[in-house]
Amino acid sequence: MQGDTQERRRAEFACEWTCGVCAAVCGPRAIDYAPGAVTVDRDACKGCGDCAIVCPHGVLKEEEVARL
Amino acid sequence: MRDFDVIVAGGGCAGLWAATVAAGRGARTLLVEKQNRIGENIRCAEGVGVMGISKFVEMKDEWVASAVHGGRFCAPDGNSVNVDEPGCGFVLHKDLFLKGLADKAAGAGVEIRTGSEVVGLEPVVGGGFEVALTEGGLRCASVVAADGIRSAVAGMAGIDTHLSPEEIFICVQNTVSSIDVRPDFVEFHFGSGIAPGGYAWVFPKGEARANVGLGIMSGRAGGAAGVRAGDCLKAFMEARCPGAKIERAIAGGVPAAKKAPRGCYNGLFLAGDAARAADPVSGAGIVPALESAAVSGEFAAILALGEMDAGEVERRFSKKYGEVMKWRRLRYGLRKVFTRLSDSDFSRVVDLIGEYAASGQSLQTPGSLVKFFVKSMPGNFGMLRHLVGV
Repeated sequence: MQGDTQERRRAEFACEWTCGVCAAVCGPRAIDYAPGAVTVDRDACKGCGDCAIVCPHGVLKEEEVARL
Repeated sequence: MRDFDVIVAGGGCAGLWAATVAAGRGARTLLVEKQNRIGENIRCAEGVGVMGISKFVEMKDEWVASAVHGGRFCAPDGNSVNVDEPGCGFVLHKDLFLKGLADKAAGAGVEIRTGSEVVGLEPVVGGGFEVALTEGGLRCASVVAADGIRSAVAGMAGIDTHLSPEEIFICVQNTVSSIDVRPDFVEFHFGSGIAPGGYAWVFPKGEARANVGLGIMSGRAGGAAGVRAGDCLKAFMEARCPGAKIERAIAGGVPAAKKAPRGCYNGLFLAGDAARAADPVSGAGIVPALESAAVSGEFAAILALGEMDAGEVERRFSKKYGEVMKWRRLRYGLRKVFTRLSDSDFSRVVDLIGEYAASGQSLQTPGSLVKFFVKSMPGNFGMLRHLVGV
């Protein structure tokens, strides 16, 4: 995990791919992605780990997502 | 007062085609693409079959990276078969192909704005939408969401477009140079050690250049738990083309959903990956995108121009869209079979492809090929018997 801003309740992961596979499987639409980073809205995240299961390069890891 | 009849979100194949169709019916049409130019940031293997694409466009030489005249199918046991299919397909320069589609859209009267994105969508009482773009708001009668697998626009309308991990091919691809590859043959590689739940491909892009990629399913869907697509591609590259130079690396998801959404929601139409239009077996998306976009663009215009009331549009759209998408039933069934095949089964499938081609039949008639599989491997493919009339 690269950063964690409490006031926005968001967790940011450095990601060079911008593929959006994680966002496509996120039911609550808790994930945004842009060049350089994947951002998870911790308030919306249900901790299901689906994003980590499908992440092609292991940017999102199940143990880290589960802690959100 | 509306600013446009139809607003299309997304400047890929689906969006450009939907906009072209809508404008061709006389609808004032705006297409917005968030990238700064059409054809930027493409995530695609770029392969397309002649039979599919020729229903929509006449191919231009500058769009073609390689003309495909056959395929090589590589089995997990190390055997492979080469199948000649003269003139069966193309590997595209997808950026130039999209620019060609954009020219066609502009020629039909579509206004194309790049660097613009739909950031809000509100239905208007009495019909139509207030569409918030990055540069300001506009009113229109119909919206086509062709903004990819996640479809932010569909999400703004409250449509649940998320896929489960079982419904997505996890794909990675490198465009490489210095590769030993036949410039007129596509390659498919099968095996749990290569691409669990999917396959790897080598699509030539001219001499000694190719898209080398693979798609896998997650462990929950017949793939292997904990396996990363990126690691699989690295291993495949080391085995297939160790000296190749990576020019570009991409990743992305391809929908492999059993059920496509209904596609039409009170003036909002879906197209392309947003509509889950990709082939759930091969992951091919270009022709399915055009097919879904043709219907969505047509009915978006019909609604906007007041040629039918909303209820009639929904009814007729559903019927036509259902016809266009009905091939998915067989293909999804086939995907279910493929995800259950063992490596030895896949080796047998590759042998059968060779036998089928040697009998003089074309791989471009997939229904007939599936019949052959059903008859030859009934224990694996028998569940598809009713779908192919065996």
